[in-house]
Amino acid sequence: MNNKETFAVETVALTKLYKGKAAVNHLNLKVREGAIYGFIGRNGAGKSTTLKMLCGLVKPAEGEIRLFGKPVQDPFVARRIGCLIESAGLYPKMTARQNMIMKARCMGLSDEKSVDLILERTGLSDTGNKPTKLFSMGMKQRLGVALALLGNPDLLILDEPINGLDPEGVREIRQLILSLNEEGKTFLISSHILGELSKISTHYGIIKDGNLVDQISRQELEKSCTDYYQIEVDDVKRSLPLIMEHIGGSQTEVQDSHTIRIYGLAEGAALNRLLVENQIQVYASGFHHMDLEEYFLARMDGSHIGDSQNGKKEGEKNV
Amino acid sequence: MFNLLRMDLYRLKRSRSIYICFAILLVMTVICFWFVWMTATPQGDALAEKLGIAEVLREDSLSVENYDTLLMFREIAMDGGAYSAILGILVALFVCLDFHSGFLKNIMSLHRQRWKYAISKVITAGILSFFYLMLQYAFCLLLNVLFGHLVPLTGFGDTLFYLASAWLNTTAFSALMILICFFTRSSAAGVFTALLLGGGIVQTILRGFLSLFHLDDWLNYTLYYSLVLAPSSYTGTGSLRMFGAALVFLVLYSALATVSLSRQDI
Repeated sequence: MNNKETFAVETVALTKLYKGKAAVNHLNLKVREGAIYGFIGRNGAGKSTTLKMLCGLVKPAEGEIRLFGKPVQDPFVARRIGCLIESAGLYPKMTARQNMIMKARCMGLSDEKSVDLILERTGLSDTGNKPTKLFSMGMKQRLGVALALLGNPDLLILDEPINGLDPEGVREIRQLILSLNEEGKTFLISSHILGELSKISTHYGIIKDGNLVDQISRQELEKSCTDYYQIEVDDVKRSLPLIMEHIGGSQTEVQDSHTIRIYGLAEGAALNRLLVENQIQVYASGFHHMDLEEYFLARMDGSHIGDSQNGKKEGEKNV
Repeated sequence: MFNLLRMDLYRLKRSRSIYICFAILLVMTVICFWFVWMTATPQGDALAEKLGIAEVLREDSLSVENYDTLLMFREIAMDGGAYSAILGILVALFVCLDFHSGFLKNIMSLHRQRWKYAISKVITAGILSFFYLMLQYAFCLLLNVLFGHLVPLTGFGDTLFYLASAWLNTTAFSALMILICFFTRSSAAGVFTALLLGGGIVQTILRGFLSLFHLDDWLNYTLYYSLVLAPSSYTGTGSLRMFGAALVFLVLYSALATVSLSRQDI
């Protein structure tokens, strides 16, 4: 790793305690400039708390936050980030434009042209005098993204930005994120919709019980998400010794009472034949590629997929 | 902080409740003037006869001989605590909406020094109270003219002295409301407190209780009684007591509001 490299986000031993219990525990998060960093974790894992600490909404119990190489307390740093945390905070009786003007004034922006430009870019320019309390969930989220974009920030911290969006809205936000990323903006996004996150993210961080269990780039994820052969049989107990004998050094994993996964297998037909010859019924079989969701679930279960190949250590790897 | 003020004033101008609360104050003023006109003038008495309320008005007849415009203004809005209660409710609704709407997240991610937010809210309340006081007093003057100069005009110096002290006092009360809103984040709690403290309900009960022990004079230094007992003109350094009490409370509540907000997660 290049030590001189500046990160858009860098936390050192970031910790937040609630009633003595660590919601975020010595988190060492590193997000490179220009990355789209997908921040993944189960409900209550500490994602939102982490993002809130980065946005200055929650005070850390200990640890350090550096944004673009500067301490988070630096007033100029706050200007370089745009946040959408949990839900878009909107005044319900104001229109989209008025809400935008409110934030523009809060930032000291005098030019209201940028407000109209961003509203147009997020597809909200035709909402007219409609108060935001009458907006759909998707419209509110889009306005939340629009508010985050105000002031042309270099880093966008988005917590569940596609919550409540219809498929078209999800696609629009995805395209918006990708086009802004092309312009050089860095994104730190948390989302439960892993399929959507995997379409845009260049890097991932997985948090479990407040601990960062993995930081990985897309390329590394693809390497780690090795192909596996999945076979469904009527009797796992009888099948397993036969499979072990047949595959030699490959790893197996019993998924349920009928399903076995075999990693590192080159060819499956001979194994199927072997099982059938031993009067074991094979219902289904085939090669699969692990996706982000499966990788995430495996990491949540404590598995270390591909770690032996990459030499990773929990929470220490920079991506 | 200037940016936060600009933002608050933008919202204040577009808030419907600011106009509703002001309209309530104006309606209250009109009603009071109208009743005084009916009891104090022959034309008003004739109208009261027609309306069948003359007897009732005569029973509660009000002598306005010793009144002037400032005293009328005080009787109508200030001394009963109506003004403080209405201003307190408005401030509570205004501040709590930042929390309820979640817009505070947008603000706090930009302004990480929270004292700036707290102080900007106190200044906004001060600006609001200034305009409310000025406009309502101007409205009293207008009504006095419309009702045929019911009471004589108060001198400019006395008016300025009283309005300045009332402004400081009500701004301090607004700071208390801001503290309560920061602490509870509940508009219901804010409105309830504004009615209880602004309307003087708690202080009156407390005064009754403390009078049993001859300690009720202590309450003269509360914001409510400072406003009620405030002199209408400068008669010596003693008449500055109200300024002192208001200033101490303004600083105290602003500091406590800042500490309260700084210690909380958003």
